Amino acid sequence: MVTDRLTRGAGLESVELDGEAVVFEIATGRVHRLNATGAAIWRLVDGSRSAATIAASISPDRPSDIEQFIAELVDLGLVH
Amino acid sequence: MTARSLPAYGALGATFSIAGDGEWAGYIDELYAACRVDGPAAVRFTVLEPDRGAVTLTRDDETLLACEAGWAVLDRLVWEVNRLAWDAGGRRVLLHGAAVVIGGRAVVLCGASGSGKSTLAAALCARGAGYLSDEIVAFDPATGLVDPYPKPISLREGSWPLVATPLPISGVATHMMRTRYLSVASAAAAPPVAVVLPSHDARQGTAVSALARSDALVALCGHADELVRHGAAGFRALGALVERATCIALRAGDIDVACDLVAEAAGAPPW
Repeated sequence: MVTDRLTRGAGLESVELDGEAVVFEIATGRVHRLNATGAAIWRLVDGSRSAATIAASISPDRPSDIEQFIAELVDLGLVH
Repeated sequence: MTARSLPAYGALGATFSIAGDGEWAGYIDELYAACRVDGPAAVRFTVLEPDRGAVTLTRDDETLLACEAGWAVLDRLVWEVNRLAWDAGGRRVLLHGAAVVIGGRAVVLCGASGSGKSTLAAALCARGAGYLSDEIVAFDPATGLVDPYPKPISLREGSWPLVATPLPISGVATHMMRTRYLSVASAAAAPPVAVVLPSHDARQGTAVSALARSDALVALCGHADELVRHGAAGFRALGALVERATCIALRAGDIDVACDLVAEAAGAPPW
């Protein structure tokens, strides 16, 4: 589980569209589509919240699912 | 045989001329008529077919191709002009795709090679749509408009029964020819209001489905080869484009129905 306060990766630009988000890696041109849950996580990744805090905020009943999602974003380098 | 100079043409700011001999001169001028511009040309292409031998394509003083297959020379010429356009795109975000204008509004057709976007663009133009481009869609973030690059539309064999395509000159028309080119007059730059991702399957008929804007943006980014050059600003510009657009996935089994659906996506009545 990621316990530190989360920040967005460097060199990323994002656009939110109809509740979903698309993240663009400026250096490589790679893009990532985030569904509504991913976009909700993305909005809360601002350097002030931990993964647990974000997970509890989005899904109080099943925070582990959200933490797993966050771990995937970390693996992708979108979140640190 | 002497090469005859032709007018200057434009491709997203690049200028070029194409000199040719015999029937090539008039044929090429017809193909690129919609791209004519005033003033001198920076690049000079020449197509020569001396004594019915090998056809030679040169760019300035460099020989690019010399072979007996006239169609291959024509394909190469079109490719070279496209490359000029890509290099001259400047501030525009360039997408692999086609674009037409319906009711003063641009429709962007994006898809992989063989998806049917050129066929659909040609069919729409035959029904009265304005033509902006085939293969390269030039979106200018500064103006919010799709700029015209009215190259001849490239139509492969499968689309010939669907769209009237003139037979090329005898030096090009052989059984090996796989692409015909259709010259269409240019429309003025227009704001994009629809993004269409076409596919083609005549066996399954025509179907349309709403496309999530996030999916449309991912698709546009995937068809923007040089998006990295534009950085975050280019990405945001494409985001703004899809945010304002109707986005659909269109399986174009029946070309008439498909054209009506594209018109509807552009907010226009059926043809």
